[in-house]
Amino acid sequence: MPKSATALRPDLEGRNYTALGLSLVLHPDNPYIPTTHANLRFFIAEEAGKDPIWWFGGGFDLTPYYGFDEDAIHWHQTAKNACLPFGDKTYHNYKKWCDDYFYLSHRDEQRGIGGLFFDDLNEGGFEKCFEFLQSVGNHFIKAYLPIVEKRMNFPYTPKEKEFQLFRRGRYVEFNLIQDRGTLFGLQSGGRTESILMSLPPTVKWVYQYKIESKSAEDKLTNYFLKPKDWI
Amino acid sequence: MIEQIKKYLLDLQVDICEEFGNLDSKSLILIPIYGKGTMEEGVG
Repeated sequence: MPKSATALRPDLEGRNYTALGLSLVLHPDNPYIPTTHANLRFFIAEEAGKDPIWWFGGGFDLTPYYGFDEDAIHWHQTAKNACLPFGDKTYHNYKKWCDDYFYLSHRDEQRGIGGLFFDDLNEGGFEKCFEFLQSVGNHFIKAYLPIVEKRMNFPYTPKEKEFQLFRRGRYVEFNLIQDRGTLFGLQSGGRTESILMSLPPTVKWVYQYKIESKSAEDKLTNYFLKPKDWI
Repeated sequence: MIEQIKKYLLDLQVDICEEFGNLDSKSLILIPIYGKGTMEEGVG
């Protein structure tokens, strides 16, 4: 296993492993439709004479450019629904993990409004953990599609497009500087084109981008991108 | 165990691609993203 995996799990060192995963990122053209990311993964690490070590990980998260309370509430309510059959604290715990994970420390900023993030899940046996993975996967479309449908025909201005490109820069910064999945993929000799498919097709860096006070852009930065209980 | 998960992930991928229209599901399904072939080599 590559260093990015064994640094946190020294018990995996020297084991052969198999990984299965589905990872997707959608970067819509219209700045009123948020970017989304979902990942579902399974690892099993084996060594002769020892029990295999397996676990599930994944989640889904949302990165709006222009925020709407109703979208954020719908997104988190759907995430909570995915978790409900698996205990009262499951949503809360994985929502917090998501907020903690998708945080750009060098900017002191969240990447988006979060969702669910889990890793190293093997408690309760394989069947139960696999059921949870499926519940997260099955709720992804229910969470994202209504938001896309609601916002896809919103007209937008060149200024709003510009803001989307600027914010996409933050997405790139996170994925290249902080994301453990990217690092794992590259360190394990993965297919680079697939690993970097999470990057947006167009992006812009603007030195000291100025955001107008009390604007929609200001609301994104100072309201939507602050972790909060949406439901 | 692995086949069961693989089937679920592939079915979900197809569902997602269908829902979101013009995505090309075939472009990702058949590519072993990190694959190197065998368990002994480490498939990650």
